[in-house]
Amino acid sequence: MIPREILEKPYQPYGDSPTIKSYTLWSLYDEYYRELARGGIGVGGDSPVPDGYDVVIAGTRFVSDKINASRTRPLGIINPGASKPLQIHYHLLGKAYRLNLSNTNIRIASTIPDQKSFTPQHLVINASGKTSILLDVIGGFSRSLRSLVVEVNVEKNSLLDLVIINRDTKYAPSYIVVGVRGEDYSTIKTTYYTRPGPMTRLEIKNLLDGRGAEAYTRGIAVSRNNERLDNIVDLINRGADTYSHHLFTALLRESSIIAQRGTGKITVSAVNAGVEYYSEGLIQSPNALFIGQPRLEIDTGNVRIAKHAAHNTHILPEQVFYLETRGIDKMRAELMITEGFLLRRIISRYAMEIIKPLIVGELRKIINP
Amino acid sequence: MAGAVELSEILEHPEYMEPIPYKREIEIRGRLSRSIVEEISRAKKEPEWMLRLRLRALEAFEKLPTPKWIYGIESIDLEEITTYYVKPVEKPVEDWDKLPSEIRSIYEKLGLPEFYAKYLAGLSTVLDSETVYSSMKKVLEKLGVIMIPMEEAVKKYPDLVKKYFSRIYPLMEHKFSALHYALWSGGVFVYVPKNVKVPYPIEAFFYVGSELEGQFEHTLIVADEGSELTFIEGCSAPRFKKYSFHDGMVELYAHKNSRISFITVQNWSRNIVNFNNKRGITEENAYIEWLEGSIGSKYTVTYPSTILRGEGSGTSSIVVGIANGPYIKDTGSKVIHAAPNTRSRIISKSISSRGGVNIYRGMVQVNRGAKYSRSHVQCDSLILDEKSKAYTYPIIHVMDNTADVGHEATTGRINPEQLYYLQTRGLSEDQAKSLIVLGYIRDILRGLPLEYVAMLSRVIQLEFERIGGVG
Amino acid sequence: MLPLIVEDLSVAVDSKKILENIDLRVDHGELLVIMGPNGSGKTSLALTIMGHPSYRVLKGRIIIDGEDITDKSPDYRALKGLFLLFQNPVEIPGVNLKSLLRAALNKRMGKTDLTEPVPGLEEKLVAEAKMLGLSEEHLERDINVGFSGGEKKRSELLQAKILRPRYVIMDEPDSGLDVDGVRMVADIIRELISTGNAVVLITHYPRVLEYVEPSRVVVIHKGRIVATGGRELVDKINMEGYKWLGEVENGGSG
Repeated sequence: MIPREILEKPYQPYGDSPTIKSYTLWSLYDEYYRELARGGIGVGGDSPVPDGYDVVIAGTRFVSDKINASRTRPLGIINPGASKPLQIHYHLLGKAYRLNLSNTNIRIASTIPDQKSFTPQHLVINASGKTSILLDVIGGFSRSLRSLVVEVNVEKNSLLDLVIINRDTKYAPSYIVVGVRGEDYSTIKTTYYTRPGPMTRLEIKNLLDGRGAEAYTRGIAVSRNNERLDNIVDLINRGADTYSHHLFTALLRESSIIAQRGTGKITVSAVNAGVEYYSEGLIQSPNALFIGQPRLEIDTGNVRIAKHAAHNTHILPEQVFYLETRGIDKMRAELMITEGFLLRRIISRYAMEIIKPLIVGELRKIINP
Repeated sequence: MAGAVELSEILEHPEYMEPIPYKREIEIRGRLSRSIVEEISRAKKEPEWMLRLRLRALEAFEKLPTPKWIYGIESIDLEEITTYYVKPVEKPVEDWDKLPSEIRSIYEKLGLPEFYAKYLAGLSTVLDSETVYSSMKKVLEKLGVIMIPMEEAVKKYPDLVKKYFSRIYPLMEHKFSALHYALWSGGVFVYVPKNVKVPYPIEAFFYVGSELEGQFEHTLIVADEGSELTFIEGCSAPRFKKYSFHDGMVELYAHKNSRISFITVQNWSRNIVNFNNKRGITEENAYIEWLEGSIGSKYTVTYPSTILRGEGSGTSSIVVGIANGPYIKDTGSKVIHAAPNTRSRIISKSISSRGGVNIYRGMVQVNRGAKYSRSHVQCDSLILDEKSKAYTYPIIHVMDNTADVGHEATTGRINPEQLYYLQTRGLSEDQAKSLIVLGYIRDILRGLPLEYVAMLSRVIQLEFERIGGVG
Repeated sequence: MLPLIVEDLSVAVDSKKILENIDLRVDHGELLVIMGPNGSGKTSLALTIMGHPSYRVLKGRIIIDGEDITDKSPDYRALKGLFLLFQNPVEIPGVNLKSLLRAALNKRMGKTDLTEPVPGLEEKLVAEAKMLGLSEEHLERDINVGFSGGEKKRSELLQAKILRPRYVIMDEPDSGLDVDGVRMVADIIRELISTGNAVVLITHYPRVLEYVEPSRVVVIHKGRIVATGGRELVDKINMEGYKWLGEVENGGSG
């Protein structure tokens, strides 16, 4: 099913360095590709349709009684040749679904089939006016490898509030790519929260093509046990006067590993653009590993602002003491500080409403065993 | 019902966006034969172990992949290496008039004495009539400091050399470190005995200049317990090189409570692809300080690294890159915290102008168990015009929850108000720029010998004022 | 209500002794002023009374409301009515003043969910903040993150007013404030005293004492109490600074 020449290709490492080869456990994906090639597992299939969503990508099936997928022009935000998993995705993908959204609020869910399989899912969205999208990437209880690509174009003067929830289960790795392009004077707010599985690769690309377009990405991750996340966020400013900002905060427990990397780029055409990229990890176990790799590529001296920073943080004893002097016990104080670290600077109210209860719930589970 | 779209329609999209094109790699032409390596070893009358090391390195060079992380396309011609290096047929330049006029005029503008300029240009191999330096040599002898050409050390102190040589920078690290070990020649060996504190910085260029200016030179410095040394290699004045590929190496070993400062300012001619492999190891409470200034060459790749192996040890790296013109400076620093309570600091300052590209590439790793380690990286880039670029690629690996590791970087341009202000005081735009550039890097040059800083300042001024001459 | 008593207190940080044989007593409706030069141990005393984990009590006791709280956790002390107004409060990114006070009040009401809305809090906060010269926006900002010195003091004072403590220790509440700010602090101190609080005011310069009358004044130097008195001590320090402390020390030992 997969041509030999794709199968034998090496995984194109992103930002390969002399010391670090790769942050994604490619062997977990390879297992699926090899089985696919042998015909051991199938492509796609049907999967459960949860309640409360306007659109469900149930395995490879599109389910919606509210919205019709309509024809729009192709977007091509994600390059089908960019990586081996993407090449396989495009090769095995039968159909993509397109949504034309204007001044709406929609909830989209993605689920995977119950049997071990490879599930390519592809969504193309054109957004105009004020649009908010919840994309709930729901983990399954099977060993199906999800390969999800979402491409979103945000029209001129439009505002997109995109919230991505990804909760992988321990059964399968996943490969999720979200590309958002902003036209002139558009504003893109992308807030994502991920609880990774054994290997979650989550790529987010913001292309600011239009003049004066702005993008704000805010990422949050909580990892436990042996979970592993490779999160790549690229902010690419190509239009004049564009601005992008990224902040990522993660809580790492037990033996989990989180890599958060990506490039803040200002191309030659993006005169007077700005980019800021921040990445922070709160490590709460001597066995966890946090990797920060915020890259900055500035191609012109005509730059408004270009900054990035990465560091690991701690709950300072002074902070706990301060809250204690206000009458809050130690455990609650730590909880409050952790919650604050994970939820701070979420500029989208919509995202806050969705993500806050999830994180509060998660932290209660961790800190009140 | 939903109308699905055939995949073919998406794939037919006319232009797929490629926001970050993959970098191309260095191309290596020609081959190195085993017999050439054997011939080098024989000519140097080396002991058997060194020949075996060279052959192992050659094997590794052939096996190791070409690094993919390199920016831009470059080619390295192994044929040229064998022609110019292994069997030198001619001296680089025979006389003053044959030097490129660009370099000649810079020497003149710097106001260097002729004997000095000739030495810099490689026209003479000895810097004569310099009594200051010979008295310094006597001081070193009195202190018991060994400082001799590396090749001599291999024969004279085989046990001492064997204990450290290639133990700090492994030959398998990457393709070019392997190539270095296969072909190494020249360089200096320095040993500072226990508790000896060398009172002055050693400007090695003036003692063993010809040894340090090789194509594959190997320098090894061992500071025994409680000793201190400041070593300055290189020279900020422009240096003319005939060959086009440099692959040198520096290994530092700082024993308990010792301190090594290693200072390099490189201003080679713009035909050179410069790989410089530098690494140090610190034992308990030892400290290694790197200062790496890179002005010249076409393409420089160098990341001074330190492995903090002993508890309480530390390191600092100060990296300055100036890419003025269509040149690439791929510099940075690497630190591995392998013991508790270790500390590191990396400061990088880069200046890109006239289409120059500066890349900072750095890594800080805190190993499991390296409790309470601290590291801070500060990385500032200045871009002087629209054509120039600055990239920052830091990596942070934290495997300990008590560690404190941070990286911060900013990239900016010269504030036009500052330029204007200086111009109202009568400076030309280029003079103003060079003044701002000097101010931008001045605070990190503290601690260098005064005359050294003065020379560097003149070189930088010339570097930027030449823009005026072009435009 | 029973007083705040510090009895023969000696304290160390790591292995270094920083406070020795401190005895204090503050009754309700009283203002005890603790003065002393920089580094004399004033702030250490405040942090020890509040139960900072770095300060190890070697001997002695701290008693409030008749209960020995020497080994109690800071939150226990807070719930007993003890409040510390920090000289230099720490930044807590992601936690704003509103949610902190909501949690603190819920805790005092014995609630388990500290995020529950507290009836009437919003309006009260806005009103009090306004009186203290803070805007509504300050209530939504992360605690102390990017606050100026004055804003930090005002935010601490706001918390003192909302949490209604019974024993208040103020560590340099007036530093970084302008004249109007100092008057405001004095007003708050008077208000606290008149509503029956026991107030301890720690200060380096007696600016705020131009507007408020101390019940007693204690001078600390090198971790020990070197002088006890009233208003006259404040005037002495106003005139001569702390130079005379050298003499006191000599006199004591001779």
